[in-house]
Amino acid sequence: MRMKIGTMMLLSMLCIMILAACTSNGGGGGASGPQESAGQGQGEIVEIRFPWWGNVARHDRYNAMMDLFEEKHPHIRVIREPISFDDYWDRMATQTAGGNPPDVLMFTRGQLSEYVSRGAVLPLDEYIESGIIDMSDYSETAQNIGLYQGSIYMVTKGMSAPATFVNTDLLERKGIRLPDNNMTWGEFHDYLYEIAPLLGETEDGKQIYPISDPTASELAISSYMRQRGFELFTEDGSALAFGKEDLKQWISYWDTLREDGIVPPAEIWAEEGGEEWEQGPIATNRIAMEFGRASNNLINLQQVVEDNIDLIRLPSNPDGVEYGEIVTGANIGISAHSKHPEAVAELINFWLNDMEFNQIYNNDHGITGNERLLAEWDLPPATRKVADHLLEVLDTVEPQAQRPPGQTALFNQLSRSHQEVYFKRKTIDEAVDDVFREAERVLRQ
Amino acid sequence: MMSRRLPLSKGITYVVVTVTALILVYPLLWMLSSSFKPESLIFREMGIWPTGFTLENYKYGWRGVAGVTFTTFYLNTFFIVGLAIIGNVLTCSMAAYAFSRIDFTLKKTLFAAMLVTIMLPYHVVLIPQYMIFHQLGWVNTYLPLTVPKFLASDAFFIFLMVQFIRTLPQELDQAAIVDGCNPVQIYTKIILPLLTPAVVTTTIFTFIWTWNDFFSQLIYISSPRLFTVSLGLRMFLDSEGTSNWGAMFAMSMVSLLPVLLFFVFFQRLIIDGIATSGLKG
Amino acid sequence: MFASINGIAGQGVNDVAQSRPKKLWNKNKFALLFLSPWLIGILAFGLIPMLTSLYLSFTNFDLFRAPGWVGLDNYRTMLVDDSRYTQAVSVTLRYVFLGVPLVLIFSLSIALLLNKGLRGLAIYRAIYYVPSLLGGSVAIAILWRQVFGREGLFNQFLAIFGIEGTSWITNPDYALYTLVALNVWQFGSPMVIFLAGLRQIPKDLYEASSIDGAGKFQQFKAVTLPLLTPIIFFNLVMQMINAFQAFTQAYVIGGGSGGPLDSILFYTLYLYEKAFQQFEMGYASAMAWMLLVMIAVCTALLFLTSRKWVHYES
Repeated sequence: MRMKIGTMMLLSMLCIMILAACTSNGGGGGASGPQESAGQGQGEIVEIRFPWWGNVARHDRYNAMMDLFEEKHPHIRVIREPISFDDYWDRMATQTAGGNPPDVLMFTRGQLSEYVSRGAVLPLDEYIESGIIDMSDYSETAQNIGLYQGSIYMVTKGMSAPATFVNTDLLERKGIRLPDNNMTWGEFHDYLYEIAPLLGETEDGKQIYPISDPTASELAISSYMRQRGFELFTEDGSALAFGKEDLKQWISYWDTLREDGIVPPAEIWAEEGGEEWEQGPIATNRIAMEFGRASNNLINLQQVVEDNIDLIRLPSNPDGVEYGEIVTGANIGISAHSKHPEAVAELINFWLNDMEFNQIYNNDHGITGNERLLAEWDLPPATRKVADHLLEVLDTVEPQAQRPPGQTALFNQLSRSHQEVYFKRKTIDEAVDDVFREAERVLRQ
Repeated sequence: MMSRRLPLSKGITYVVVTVTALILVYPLLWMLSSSFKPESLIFREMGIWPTGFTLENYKYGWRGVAGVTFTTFYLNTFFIVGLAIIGNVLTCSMAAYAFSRIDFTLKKTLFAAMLVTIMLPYHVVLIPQYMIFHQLGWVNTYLPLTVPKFLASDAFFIFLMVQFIRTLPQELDQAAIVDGCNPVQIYTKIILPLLTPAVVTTTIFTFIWTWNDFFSQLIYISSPRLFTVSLGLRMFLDSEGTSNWGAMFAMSMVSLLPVLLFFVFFQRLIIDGIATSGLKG
Repeated sequence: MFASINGIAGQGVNDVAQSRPKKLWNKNKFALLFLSPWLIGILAFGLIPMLTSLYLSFTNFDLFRAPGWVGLDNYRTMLVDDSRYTQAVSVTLRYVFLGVPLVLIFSLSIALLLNKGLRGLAIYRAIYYVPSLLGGSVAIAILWRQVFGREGLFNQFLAIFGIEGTSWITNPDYALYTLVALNVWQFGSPMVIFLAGLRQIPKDLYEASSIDGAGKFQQFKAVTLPLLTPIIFFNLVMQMINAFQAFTQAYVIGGGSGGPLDSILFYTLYLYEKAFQQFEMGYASAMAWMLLVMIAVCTALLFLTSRKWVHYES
């Protein structure tokens, strides 16, 4: 009967396919640490899993880096797991919660405390002290980037600091004088009002504004508060360290600038402010300067923007702490559940110190903290600017505190409150109250 | 088919249908044209007609990630999708038959349970499921994505087929019983052939949804050589650095092609209405 | 809910029981045979995760440490103390009650039009389905911004009539509607199901009724509509359940946040944020079960009312 033959065909195909699925791709290729003896005759090969985020170009670059590492360390094999940025965290959380975390961890500033406080990260102190991870060419500030509650949990692969990005070509086209590198807040304020009427319009007839709106930027607000003498959080991470009045002044400052047409109005900012890179406001010439952006962005930005962009320091505070920039960047650590922490430590050490490796890496996430390498290296122009800026920052700021768990939720609230203020749904006082209430909710844990 | 129809209403039908089609398709035409534009022009020009023309996006996009090209991604995806279709069609129709044509104890409860499985958001069962799959050693294989299909995990299709079976008159079953058939024979000889539209629908939807489902693929697959097309597409975007929009559009277009062809081919089976005439016999 | 399900699931079989000959077979045995894949699946991969998530909803599970019991705290906070939760419910309800009817009306109308067998309509069917093929692709985010941004296609269209539009997609008052539009744009799935259902209606019924002198509209009312009701019901229930759980499109368009002023903070989007970004998996589990209850209640209502208008062949 037609049906019978059909069914049998299906069933047999079924069996074949199941068989194929189980054998060819199975065997749990991704679980950590099966021991293989590849025909290299050097004993057992250790496998470590390394997930990373990025785009196609970065995947290629990291692949080349891992190839180099494996060449120099033949007993270690790196299982590579590239993914895009957003997906990275979903998978990381699921795998860690599900009992299958990778060996190598990557962090930016916000996540460290979340993962450390939940026991997912291995302290690195012994590796550093014994020299397996050699940080002798790193300044103390750079070494302490990963310091949290007395131990070092991550080390920096690349550092950057917030800067004000200045589109010098645009300013020159409009005949405007360039800003100084070390302005005070007062001089900065005057400069903005000075250039506003001179900026005119873009080629498509859109109004150009002097500067972006950084109210919700973590980097910008951290720097500001530090200049007033406050870290963002108290030392035990249980509350905000600054007061409502301070936050109110921060939000009001930029709100006033919006009223005065220095910062783009709500409608325009809602649409264009969130765009990135070649669609972002500085690339489209919508703004002449961008406040408080991570300096290493310059390297990638300059590749897609024709105008020349320079970096200047955030405004200084002559009446308090002079400079407050915090140092950010990308960091690397070892999973607490890794079966081969020494192998990961070797990878980290290589990352921090090897010149060839770093040249392929090319300061992708930020400037390397290795001062010996920086001295020997002939950096391309955009990278040189970022490096110079960073060194100046490192010289002039105080050490900084780590972000406590719960801070992601808080910054999300800041972003929402910011929107409510510029859409005029809430007053600034209400917005400040909301932020403090959310802080209380997430930080008291 | 129908008796006389005024030419006017036919014309109106065509007009309405065409205009709607154009509106629906315009965003896609934009994407298609963008895939042929050099990267720098994509967001500068809003129009559909590309002023610069290049195949670079396609070439660059096809290279894929970390040395694994889209060829591999396609083969992988076809493999998973093929299994998913077979699994769904077989096991969901079986379960649907039981729910609609057999009276058994606990039927009401189980039917309700089946519906309830659709109602719980995926994110909260994700981690317990991951733990189970991890214990079984199935992580980074295709097993978590395919085996559940052979266990009728897509209750959507069970419910769909139940509703379709419900439209078939009971007299057919009765006639078969009189002829001495048991339920298995009724299933294979009578119900399944008449269910062709539902089976085809299941096939099409399973194909498309599995093809587009990136989340479970993301969670369970970490090696690039096992990547599917959806995962490959996400590789082009990066919030930290520049994204390759051109390549992504190009590959999205290419990704649409098999799905579209599959749909065009199979929908004919629905539309040409197989076996609806046999009912009154 | 059970009573009405009984009406659907149990109806026709009683007739069979009365008229069948003396051959007794064990119904449960056959049921087990046909249900076995599903049962195995449920037991292996369904039941335990679901029960686990129910348990977690009474804890403060943060994904990494052992969960600690907190009783009804999560539920209490949700209902009383969480303004974003209320916002999420409001957004989702609006989306469901606006979007589902629109999708159904639209897809049914188009399905009817395409069912006529006029020449060339096969191509149109494919075209209408193409938007659905894009699913939750990341390309959608860009595409939709190109359509509903300030200089987007929609505003260009409005400009023809002299209307000046704003940026719909970044405007907190309108962003939700762009997502409704997106859902309607992707109406291909219910349309195909309607087509399949329409095709299943025997042609002789139409012939018989037109011999009786029925006009097109009467045929629609007397033949098409009643026989299509099981399919309409199916689409209604599934579209509603899907709308309640809408996630991917909002995630992709809102960039992972809830959009401008949380105007597209869909329920499952908020749930995802709580679970994976704020590590509050216990709370998220409570939210999930709350959603399940909401959906179950609505579905039960639909099933109850279905007795009045859904017509099964039996």
